[in-house]
Formats: sequence, C-alpha cells, structure tokens
Amino acid sequence: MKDEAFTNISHDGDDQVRQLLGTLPRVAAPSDFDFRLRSRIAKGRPAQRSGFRLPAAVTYAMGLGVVLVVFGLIGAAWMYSGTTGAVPAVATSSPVSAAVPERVEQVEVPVQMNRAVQNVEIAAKRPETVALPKPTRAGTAIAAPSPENNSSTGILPDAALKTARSIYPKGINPNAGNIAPDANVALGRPIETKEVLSRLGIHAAFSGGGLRVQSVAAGSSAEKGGMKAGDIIQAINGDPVTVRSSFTDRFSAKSLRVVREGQTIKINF
Amino acid sequence: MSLDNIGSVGAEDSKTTVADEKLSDHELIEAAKNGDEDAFAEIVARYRNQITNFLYRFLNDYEEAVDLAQETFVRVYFAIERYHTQFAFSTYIYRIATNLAISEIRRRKRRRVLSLTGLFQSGEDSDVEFQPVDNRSLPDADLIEDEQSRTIAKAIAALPEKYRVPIVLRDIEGKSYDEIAEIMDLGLGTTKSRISRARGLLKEKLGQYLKSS
Repeated sequence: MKDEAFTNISHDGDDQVRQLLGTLPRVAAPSDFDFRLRSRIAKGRPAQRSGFRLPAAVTYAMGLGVVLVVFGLIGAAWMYSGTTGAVPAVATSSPVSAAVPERVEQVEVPVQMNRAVQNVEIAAKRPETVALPKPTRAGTAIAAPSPENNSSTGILPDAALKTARSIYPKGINPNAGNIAPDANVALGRPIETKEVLSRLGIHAAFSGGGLRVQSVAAGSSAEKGGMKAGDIIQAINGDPVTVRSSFTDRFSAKSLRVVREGQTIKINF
Repeated sequence: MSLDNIGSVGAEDSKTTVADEKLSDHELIEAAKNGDEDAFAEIVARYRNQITNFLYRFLNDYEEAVDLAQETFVRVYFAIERYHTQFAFSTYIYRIATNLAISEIRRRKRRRVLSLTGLFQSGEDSDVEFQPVDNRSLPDADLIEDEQSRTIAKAIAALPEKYRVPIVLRDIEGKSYDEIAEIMDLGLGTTKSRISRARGLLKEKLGQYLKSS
C-alpha cells in the first residue's frame, strides 16, 4: 500500500516535470538555414572535428613547460643582467684569495707583502683597516689584527688575516725553512742570496772565498740544522752561490753545502 | 545532386505538396540517392526545425544549435550512400545530432579546464556545463522566453549529458522510449531509468514551479 502510494506520488512528480518541459516554446531554424546549409555543402565534406588530438594532459603539460621555460629565461636574464647592482658575496672574496696564495701565510713579511695586504684592504674600501702594525722591536711577533675590529667591517678577506697573523721579524721565523714565494717571486723578480739566507735565519756576507756566516738566529731552521757562525756557504740546494746569485722561481731551501774548518759538510733542512 | 532546391523547398515549408507528404523518409532517401534534388530538400524541410529545437534545448545556445543542425544535414548529405533503411531515418538523424552535441559538450568541458571561470564556481554548480554568456540578440522573436522558460532551460543544461539527452528526446521532442533507446544505443530499461533519474533531478531544481502548477 505504501509502495503504491509512493509510486503514485513519484509518477505525479514525473508528470509535472513532463508538463513543465512541455511548456517550453519550440524554436525554429532561422530563415537563412537553407542558404547556409547549401553553402556548407558546396564547400565539400565537413571538417573532421574529431581529428587527431593530443591527450589533454599532454597538451596542458606542454603549455606549462613552455611557461616555465619562459619564466626561467626571464629570471636568468634578470639575475645576470648588469642592471641589478647587487654583487654576489662570493665576488668580493674570490679575487682576493686568488691574489694571495694560501702559502703566503708562512712567509716572513716582506715589504711587498704589506703592500699586497694594503691593496687588498683598499680594494675592500676599508681604509681604517689598511695599516698593519709595524714591528716594534726585534724578536717580538706582531700581534695579529683583532678579529673584532675586522668582524665589524666584514670585508677584510680571510687570506689577508692569515697573512697578518704570521708576520715575524727577520731571523726569528720558526717556519723560515719553508720558504714560500713572496711578492717578488709572484712577480718573477729575482731574490738575492742574502734575502734567501735571512729567511733561514742566517746573516752572512761575502768575504774571502765565499759567503761567510756571521750569525745564526736562535731557534731558526739554520740553527736547528747545525749552522754556525764562521761557516762558509758554497752552495744552496747544490747550486753554487756567488755575489750575483739570485733566485727567481718558487724557492724552498733543502740543503746547504758549507766549509767548516777546512771540511766540506752538507746541512739538510 | 544539385543543391539549388534545398532553399526553395525550405522557403515553402508550409506549402509542402501532398505528393511529398505521402512519401516516407526511406523513399525520400532512396530518391535522394538516385539524384533527386527535391527529395533531399524535403528531408531538410521535415527535420530542420526538429533538429534545431532538440539541439537548442540540449545546448541552451541557439547559434551553436543552428550550426550543429547544419552540420548534421551536411553529414547526412555526404553519407547518404551508406545509409541503410533498417533503422528509421529519424533515429539515424537524431543519433548524428546527439553525437555532435555530446562532442560539443565535451569540447566545452576541455575549454572550461583552462577557463578562470571554473575557479569561481561554487560546489553546487559543479555539474553545470560551461555556458558562456551569449549577449547576441536572438534572430527569432519567438525565442523571447519568460523567466520560467529560462529557468527550465538552465536546469536542463545543468543535467549530465547522459540524463540530458533522453529527457530532451522524451519530454520535449516526444520520442518513444524505443526510439530513444535506439538513438542512444542503450537498452530499454537503461533508457527508462535515465529518464526517470533526469526527472528526479529536475524536480529538485524546479520545485518552485512544480508546487505552483
């Protein structure tokens, strides 16, 4: 009984919908329908609307890819254009590290190195940090520039800091045996023999038949190697030394041939 | 087959000769296959308004309906040699029109994916097909409909296509269930079920008019 009632209600609703749809006015073809149809038939067979199509997902993916490529190119052009004005942080430090090799930190401070450091700091536009303290007295290491002073600037390169920390007066550099190229070497200029010996802690002068050692710095590599005052240096690394001898290439002292009390001995470092 | 007579017959739609009325669709098709120009013109005259009305109620877009109605006749014209008379011609031409309309609906769906309008549709409108506003003036004064007709048309247009086709064929075009089943290539039970379901959906949307009627 309930089902029958439900069916009647349902059918009543269907009839109402059917009647409602029946109230819609019918539309007719336009007056030029036949003319347009004749024209289309005269053009030939209908265009194949359902021709080959790429899947929609592929089409959209291709469009998205094109958009990404375009924006990528625009972004790359913007990043590398010269109009941005912003210099990447790596650009400020890389030239400095290239100009000051890592081994320079072991070098006894030559005048040219001070200039190099100054140049670095001038390039960094921090004139207040340019001047390095000069040695006050022999036998005392120069205090390294305080990191606090430089941390406030944030500009002085690390390589320059390392160089400043390892400044020693002549004759007391414990690492003098590890001679590294200085500014002259880097520039290809010759280094005098006396200069080379001074880095080893040897003060010598030409007298008589050779380069006579006048004094050996305490704690230097030369003293550790057994060099004594009065020795006559004949060769460095096997190369005879004369007044005109000079060293122009990257140099590292390995041995000295000396004459002591009439005997020729070889001192290795 | 010449096309010159298509217009002339159509222009005198109300003056169709008695001889033409006596000919069945199959006879006209056979005559058209043999080169009878008037026969195809008569076919166009018989079905142009029916097909246009069906497509208009299906798409709710008059210009698109007219375009697809013409496309339907163009396809009939060029495929007339392959037509077999085991089916009623009305079933045949309605099936062509239905397939074209469904293709159009699916093309609109693809376009809607990229349309920004889809971003602003509410959840309850999710089943509504993309219906761009047609601001063009209608060419026929008879198309000026009242608010109720527009509401009903929108409700029909909001139906899924599998419900929209049978309800339009049944309750607007007056086709029988058997004809609709043949046009849609479905079983009779499935066809009835879909029509019933379509009416149920329309009842929900058109409740205000059902109560007052």
